[in-house]
Amino acid sequence: MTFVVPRGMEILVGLSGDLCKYFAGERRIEVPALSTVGDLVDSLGLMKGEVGVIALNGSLATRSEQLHEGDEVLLFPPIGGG
Amino acid sequence: MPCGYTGRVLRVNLGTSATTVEEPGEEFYRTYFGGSSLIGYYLIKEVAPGVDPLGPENKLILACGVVTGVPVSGSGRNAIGAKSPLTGAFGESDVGGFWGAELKRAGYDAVIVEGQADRPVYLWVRDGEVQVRDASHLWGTTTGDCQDMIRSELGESAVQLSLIGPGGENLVRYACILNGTRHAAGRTGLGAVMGSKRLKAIAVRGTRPVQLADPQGMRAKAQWVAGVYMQTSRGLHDNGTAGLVARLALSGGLPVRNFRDGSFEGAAKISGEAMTQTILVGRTTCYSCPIRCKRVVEASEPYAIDPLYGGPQYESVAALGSNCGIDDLVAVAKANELCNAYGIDTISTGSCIAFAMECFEAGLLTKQETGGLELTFGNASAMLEMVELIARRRGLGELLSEGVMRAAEQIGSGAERFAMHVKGQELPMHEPRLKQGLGLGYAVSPTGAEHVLNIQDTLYAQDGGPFARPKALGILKPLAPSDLGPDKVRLFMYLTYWESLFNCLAMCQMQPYDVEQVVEIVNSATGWNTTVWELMKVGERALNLGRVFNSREGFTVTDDCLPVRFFASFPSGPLAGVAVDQDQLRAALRTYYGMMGWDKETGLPTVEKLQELGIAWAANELPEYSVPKQ
Repeated sequence: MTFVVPRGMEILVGLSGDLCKYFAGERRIEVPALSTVGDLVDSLGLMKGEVGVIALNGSLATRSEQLHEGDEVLLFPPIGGG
Repeated sequence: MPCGYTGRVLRVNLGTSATTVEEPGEEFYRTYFGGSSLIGYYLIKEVAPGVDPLGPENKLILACGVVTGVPVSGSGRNAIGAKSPLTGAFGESDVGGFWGAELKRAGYDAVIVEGQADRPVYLWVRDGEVQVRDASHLWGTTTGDCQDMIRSELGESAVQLSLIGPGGENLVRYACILNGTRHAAGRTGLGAVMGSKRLKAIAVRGTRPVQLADPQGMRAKAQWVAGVYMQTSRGLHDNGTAGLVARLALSGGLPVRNFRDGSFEGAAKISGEAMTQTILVGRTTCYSCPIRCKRVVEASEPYAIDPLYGGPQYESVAALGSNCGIDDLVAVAKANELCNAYGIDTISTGSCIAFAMECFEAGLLTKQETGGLELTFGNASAMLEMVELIARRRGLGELLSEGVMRAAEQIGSGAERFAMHVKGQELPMHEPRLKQGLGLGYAVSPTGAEHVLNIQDTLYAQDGGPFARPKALGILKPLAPSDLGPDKVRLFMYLTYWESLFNCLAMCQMQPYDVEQVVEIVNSATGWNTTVWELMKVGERALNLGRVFNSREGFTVTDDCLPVRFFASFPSGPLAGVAVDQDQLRAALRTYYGMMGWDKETGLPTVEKLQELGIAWAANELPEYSVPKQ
């Protein structure tokens, strides 16, 4: 049996702080249609507990928010001390 | 021959110029470990309750811990303590750099400074030898000039200095002591204590490496950090602690305009990333640390910034930037340079200016008091002018150099509602409405509002990542940052034991070690067979010593509080509608006292708790009412 994955959406993803160990700068990442922010985060293969703050198009976002073509997502580690 | 520590404490009386050396013995070191706990021990034993913090009876103690100066990342720290002139309570601040390691190499674990000199002096400690030298020609100099002059007259460029600037000389109540020109023991006004003793600097040079019980084990640990730090600590290396600005602003928890707001329209301009892309010219570090989280910045316009003084870290960026409504990164960096050159705490300085800005906007201060300055939020040149005035105690700076608590009392007319402090110490740059356990920490810290002996709730809201640390200590369930129930209190208590331990060791908290690795480092240094259990007790002991010291000074549960601003919510932004619930905080405090083994009514350590910690002697210092009636 062959599964056909429909062409999804292209999201611009950036990582910040310690997450830059995965990749620095920004990358265009394709995700299936109807993906949420959480789906995107899970697809990146980061280690558990490493993402603390998510920005979607410059605003604070939750994992459950729906993504749309062309969205920009920026991921930060959890907020620590200074 | 002891390992890890030298076994020698230097005592200098500046009134008589007498110097003596004490050797407290292994049992003392294994009980207190150094740093914060050593300071607590000597302050309680030797500084009588009620003394003037700026008088000769107060003692200034600079203390390494049992791992200071061992060749492993994070060991470049020392603690400094005295009765605080800012709070009247237990004063302590911890600092990195190279001075602590140098003091160990010079043969001492700590220096206790007593009395008061009749003229400016500095100490010169070289491989165990001590001189009290004239510093009249150094009085009034910036930290940078003083460092150059002392190194030049001693003919040794490798001399490390712990020193004050004009702020300490002028007894600014939040003057700091710097290790060199870039590492500040910023909090609780210890620079003013040093200034009151007319002690400009302690110059140190040592050539004898710290003895290690297990050099091979220590080397393995150092090599491990060198191999992994770009995986574990990449953000700190790349953008320093100011990398926090962007995510805090997004979350609505960045201190803005004297904690009035949580989001800042100019956050991107003062972020760690912006610093990296614009004025950063170098990354420096502390003894033996490969992470290099310290910034070096340089600019020529609109303000010339001398890279000698490093660059602003997160607390300084927020205190002198967003909390003053300022989005001009070069101005913030200039203010940071001035604070380091003059030796005043960036956090309290920024907080005092933000307080004055709010008073000005509310009409409680006018141009008459500000000397014509338009002291509004966002006015960068006015902020910089105020830094100068505070360090020199001129104009409005005279009032603000006393700290927000005393300034508000002077101004009156309700100014205290703008005074963001606990026990007289200005708040660090972390928002209790975002992190409610941190608010509890502000309330109970022995030094007043404090971020080092505290938790960042946001680190422990999900499993994995930074939650590994509390999990290793037996906290199994992540908790929401807004939680302030008994589980959060327990998490707070365990983690602050651990952090308190770091102030005793004295070690940097921002290292990638897990708890077992810290145990191994202590054992490699000392040859002891310590465990996580014993290390937790060291941290707990230090916290209890601070509490005992404060009880003698008259502090009670009513001083364990928060500024009223946090009991009201933000009108908008990601934290709209969120406040600290006063009743919940009160309940959390009682739970904390109970969990700590303290009396739930008086908040004082019980005799049994002090006995359990092996410091029964401290029970004699408690106010009478805490001792159970016979």
